[in-house]
Amino acid sequence: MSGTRVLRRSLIAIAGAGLAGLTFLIPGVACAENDSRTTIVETRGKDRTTTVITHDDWDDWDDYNRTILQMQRESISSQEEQAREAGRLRRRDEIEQSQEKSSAEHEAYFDAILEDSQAALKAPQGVYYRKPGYSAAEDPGSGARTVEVGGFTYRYDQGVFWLHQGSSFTVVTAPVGATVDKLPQGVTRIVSGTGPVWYFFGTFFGEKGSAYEVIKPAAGLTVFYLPDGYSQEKVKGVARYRFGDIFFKPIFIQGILAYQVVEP
Amino acid sequence: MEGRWYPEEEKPMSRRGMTHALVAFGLALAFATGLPVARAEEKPSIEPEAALLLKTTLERIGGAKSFTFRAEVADDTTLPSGQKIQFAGTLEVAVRRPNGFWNKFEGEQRTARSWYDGKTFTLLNDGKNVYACWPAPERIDDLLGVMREKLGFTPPLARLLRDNLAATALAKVTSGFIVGRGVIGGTPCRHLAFRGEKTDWQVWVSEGGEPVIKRIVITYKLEPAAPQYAATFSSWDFEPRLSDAAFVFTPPQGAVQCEFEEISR
Repeated sequence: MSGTRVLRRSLIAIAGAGLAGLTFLIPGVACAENDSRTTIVETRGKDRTTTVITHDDWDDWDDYNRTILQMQRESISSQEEQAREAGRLRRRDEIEQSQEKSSAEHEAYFDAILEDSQAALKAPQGVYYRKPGYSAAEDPGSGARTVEVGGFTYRYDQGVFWLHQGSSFTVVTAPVGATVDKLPQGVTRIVSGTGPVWYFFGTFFGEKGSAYEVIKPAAGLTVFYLPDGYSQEKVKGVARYRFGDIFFKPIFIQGILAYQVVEP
Repeated sequence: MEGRWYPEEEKPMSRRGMTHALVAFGLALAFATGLPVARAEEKPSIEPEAALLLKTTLERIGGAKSFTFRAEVADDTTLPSGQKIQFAGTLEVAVRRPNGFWNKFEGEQRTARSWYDGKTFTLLNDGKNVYACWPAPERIDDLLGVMREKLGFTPPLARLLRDNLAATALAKVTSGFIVGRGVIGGTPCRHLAFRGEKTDWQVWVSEGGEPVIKRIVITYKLEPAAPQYAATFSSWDFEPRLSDAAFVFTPPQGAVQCEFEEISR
């Protein structure tokens, strides 16, 4: 064969192969010879074909299993093999049905472990925090901002509000309505029906334009830790916790102790 | 005869040869673009020896009238930053089928105990001295199913509490094999590995005498950073002396009672 002829055949092969490759990328093209999900390609070996099924969603295990079965189905012309496979599918369906309940629980258990460990993250460790009542002789620092609310001037730094009292600065509970430009490190985001809320050691922040505002949390909001300085009390025999003007009741959520905001 | 002189790759291309080239190129392209052809080559397979060893081990646990064990637990959590943190803890479990169990978990994040006496399931957070009680079904197996459905959780390693754990352990397992031999806590073990849809898990089973699980590692392969849950077992006792009182909760002094949040579906 001449070199030109070999080259021409090679180019044809490459072009054809490219089109075949594209059929894997474009299901619509792949479907031309079969249904909307199947491409039949010929593999090596005399009179042997392999059916490769392409799927959009390979996370679907049932489809995956069926694909595996299809892959094993070589020499598909055999009626006997088809009958055997139908039997296998029937038996597999029966087994899957009988195992469905326990399998779901099996997976749910493993999921629960993960949920448990994630939800168990409590008060963030290693972040800056001072509880109400803490006093210092000096101003909180150069990073602190001045915030005025209700006629009082506070110093705000990393989620903590300070009041200048006499010659010292004292940490106080966050004043509702205070607007700050930055959330502190270690803040926890809470999903609520009224939009995102952030929680940091007993203080709740809501969005206010591009800034954040200290808010009074709605009843039902749940957090997974209370800050140091909370108190416990009983109302009509029911225990609840208080931090500033916010009241919480304990509740187990998926086995994790949480604290749900309640009305005073 | 002319054909003999052609190197294999220079033979005139037949229709079949052309098809082979198309297929090869298509497969190569599919591999390169990450399409799931590679997965299609996988076949669910579990080595019979691995399945038998696991079944035998779990049948012993599932068939035991009562048993206790202790496990050192390590549980990964991935922080939003991507940093993986491992929390350690110790789990103690006592089971008396069909209607009693008790467990205690002492960990970095919490210390908790739970009781079940065939009538009531109680969970106590020891650190905060807060507990909740819940009316429970009469059998452990029923309790675990209802707990998961209603309360959204089950006790740690609850699967080992079930009667039928041997029958259901390989549900949705896609492959399993014996990795080899290892030593856990001084005990020679067979190391088994299994793959599932969402998790991969490994089990170390003691060799010699009645088999017991010495270690379990579960990998949540679909989760970011693939966190793991590991439990290393010790002190298995299949003939423990357990009194009725062991499964009945008595509130500690000053304990606060609260409720479980039930899942609404």
